[in-house]
Amino acid sequence: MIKFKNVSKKFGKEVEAVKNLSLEIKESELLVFLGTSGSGKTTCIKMVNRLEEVSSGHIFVEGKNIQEYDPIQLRRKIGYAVQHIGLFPHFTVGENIATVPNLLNWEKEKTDKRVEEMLELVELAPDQFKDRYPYQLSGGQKQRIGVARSLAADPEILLMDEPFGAIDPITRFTLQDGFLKIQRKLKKTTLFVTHDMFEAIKLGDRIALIDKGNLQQLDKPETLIDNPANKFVEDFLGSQRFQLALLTKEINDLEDIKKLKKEKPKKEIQPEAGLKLTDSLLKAINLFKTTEAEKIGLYDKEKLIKTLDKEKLVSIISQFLGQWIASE
Amino acid sequence: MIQEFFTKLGNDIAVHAFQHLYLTFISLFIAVIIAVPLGIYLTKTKKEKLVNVIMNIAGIIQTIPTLALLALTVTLFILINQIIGGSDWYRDGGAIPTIGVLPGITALVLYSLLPILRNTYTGIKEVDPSVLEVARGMGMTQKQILTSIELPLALPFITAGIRISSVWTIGIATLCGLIGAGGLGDLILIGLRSNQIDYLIAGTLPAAFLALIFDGLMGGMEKWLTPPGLRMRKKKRQ
Repeated sequence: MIKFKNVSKKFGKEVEAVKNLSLEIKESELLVFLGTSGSGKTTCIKMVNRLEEVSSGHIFVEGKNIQEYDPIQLRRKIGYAVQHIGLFPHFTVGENIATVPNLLNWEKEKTDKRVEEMLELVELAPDQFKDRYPYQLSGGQKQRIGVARSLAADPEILLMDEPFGAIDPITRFTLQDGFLKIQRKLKKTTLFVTHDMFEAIKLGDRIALIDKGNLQQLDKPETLIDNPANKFVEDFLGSQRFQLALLTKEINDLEDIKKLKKEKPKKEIQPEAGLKLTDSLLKAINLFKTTEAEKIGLYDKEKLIKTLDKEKLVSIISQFLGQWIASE
Repeated sequence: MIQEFFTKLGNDIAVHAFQHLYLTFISLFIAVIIAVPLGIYLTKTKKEKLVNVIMNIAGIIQTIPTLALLALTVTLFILINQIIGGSDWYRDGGAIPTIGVLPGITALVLYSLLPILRNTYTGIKEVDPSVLEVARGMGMTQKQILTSIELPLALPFITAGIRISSVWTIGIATLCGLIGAGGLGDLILIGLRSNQIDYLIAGTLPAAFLALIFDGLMGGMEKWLTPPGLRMRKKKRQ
């Protein structure tokens, strides 16, 4: 879908923001560019819609070199959302969302319908929000409108530059969940820039860790955490690795659970609390904190496969984590 | 007594107030036509030196005392006539009139350039860079960004500049009587020379009223031209 081939970007003669980057983003994939500020991650995505031009190398979008596109046309088919949102203060929410459809001369009815769909998608009531102005919105609402606006013309590709960066942590989690839901539904090819590794792990299908313009590692989140490619990746993840592992490890990964799965299912009483096999260990631990239920059911998708004592499950997980730490 | 005043001077007031407004409108109109496009150009050009030079020139004109500027304009016109018609230019009449409406308007235009120019420039430069980046990133052309983002957002600034200029121009236009350009200044001059208080009042009060009315009108215009999304933000701040 998108291909970087030996791409470099220099600002002036001295500063090389991106060095010889080659990678490929598959269709419907969400690739996260992760790195500290100044690592060149933002430059990477700005080159895709030609807000920055490559100094050398080539970028291909849908098999065609972006230099062959008219930059204006190229940008109109790529959704774009940034950290500072940049809502047009003199446009209503509806007009903001309709920006690209209007640039593409959509018919008014089609645009209006699309605006409402988009507002529903980001879970804001259309009749309540459509005619508001940006100053009448909270930070989180603005951010949702920013995402809705980037999706309005139904682009195949999305570029997101720390879209949830300037938001308080609690709202950020809600927005991330909301965005994941949308992404699972729409399956846009997305390039997502962030410096927050938790966000990267949570959202990314794959993560490209970048430092000083160099690609350090490009892998699935769990691989990144289990097998850091080099010292830099290890240091970058640093003390957070344990917490990150809680996010990436699933109930499925527990050896004892794998064994349990093979046992013949017995008739079980419907438990009060339950976990899916694909839930992360973090979710399990959070459940233990909040539930008073003594029995916890394990579900393979919708099917109950086993009911365990809470105590038992806690000990399985802690044993697993103990071993994991010891092996690191 | 009031009736007497108006029977004697009513006609004079009307004629001179009209001349006064005529001078003001024409000068403002020309100033807007020059300063707004120039201001826009200065925000787009990459030649920072040029921006500084032009802003400084407009600033220097502003610091010249009004009377001196009028005299300078007349001098300038005489020089132009000399260049065109040689040193005997006055015998067969100069190429351009050196006193009257033309030098008057020229001085007024020069004076009202700066506020409009400066406000247009800052109004556009003040637009949030992230708004511009997104506009570009979503595929707006430079022209679309200017007409649908930058100008609407800068409009309240630009109108404020025109408002300042218009009030100044009305004030300064009273001095144009000195170079024979007409206006309410004529009445004031008559009053001063012949010690007639009624002429002084007939010149000063209408001039003050005109300035107040203009200020009010332009203030209303400023509010009306402010995009609603910004209008309410202002209210909230207060």
